[in-house]
Amino acid sequence: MTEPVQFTGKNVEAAIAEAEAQLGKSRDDLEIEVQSQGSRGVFGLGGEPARILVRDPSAPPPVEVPAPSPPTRVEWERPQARVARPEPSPSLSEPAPAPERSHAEVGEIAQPAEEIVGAMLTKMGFDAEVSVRSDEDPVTVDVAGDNLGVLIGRRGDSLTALQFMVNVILSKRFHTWPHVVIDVQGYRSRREQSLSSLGQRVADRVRRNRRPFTLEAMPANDRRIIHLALRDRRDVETYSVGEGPTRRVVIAPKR
Amino acid sequence: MTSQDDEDAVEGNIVGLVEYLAKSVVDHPDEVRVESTQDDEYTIYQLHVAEEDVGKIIGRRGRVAKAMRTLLKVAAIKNHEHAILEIE
Repeated sequence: MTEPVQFTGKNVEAAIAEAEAQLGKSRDDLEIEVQSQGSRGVFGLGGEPARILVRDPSAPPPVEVPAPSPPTRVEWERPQARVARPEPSPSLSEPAPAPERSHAEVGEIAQPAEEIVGAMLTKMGFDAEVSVRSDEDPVTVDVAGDNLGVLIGRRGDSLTALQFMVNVILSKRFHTWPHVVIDVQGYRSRREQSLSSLGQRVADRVRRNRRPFTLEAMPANDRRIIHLALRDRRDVETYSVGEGPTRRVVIAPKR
Repeated sequence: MTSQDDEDAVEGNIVGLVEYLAKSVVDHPDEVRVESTQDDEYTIYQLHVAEEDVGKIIGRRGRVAKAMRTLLKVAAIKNHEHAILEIE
């Protein structure tokens, strides 16, 4: 997805939430350009929707992105490409990570991913069993063992850091962001299930009460799970409010 | 769980962790150096990288440095020490 895609919403926030849900990515992984803030209009009449342009970071970053922190992963392997090669070059840049990847590509990442996780855990002093589900996309590395709670951390903070570093290291090697998922003692799958069912329960309540409900603050990945779990429901919509660590998902009745 | 006896080995471990992470991320792995110094309460891990690699270690919005600090903290908790990461 190298072309920017336009999303709209009743405000910028809603438009970004829509983009996150549709693309299945956190805003931290997307380049977002606000085209129009939108306006409310008077008494709900004559309002303009907010418009944003969203680019998947697999595209080369635009030249005007300020160094040293271009919001794309291209930073990791080819910073000079930002200036010298604003256009994608078929021979040099990897294709965008399409949702469906070939088994060859997935398999290529799986083994190094497993090795990197194993090396990190050993150095950290964990005695754990590491295995990889290479037939799945995204590639998932499972860590099993005793006393791994500290590796998950509060609300999965440590696990998020571990997963992020593994992807940073792999992206250095493969010149593409591999989206490898790391799970410890089934934490992620359990968390995903409980968040989805929480979302559905709250959505049912929102439909009955016809009132928006704001969930507690959650990290980006958890919010994404809720957005995705409810994206197909016709009776409610979801968006996020607040900034940083206090960002919360709102589930609201759809008009 | 770690016993008192092998805390030296454990410290080497964390140096190894920081070294491994840094070397995997930078363009000049041969210029990565990690030193640890111990004061009363904390072990301070000083990470040196080539000047042009500092941005890589920090990452956009400081995410790489933050993730490395989190992992260092996890390793420190696991090995019963208080650790600080300094990036130079």
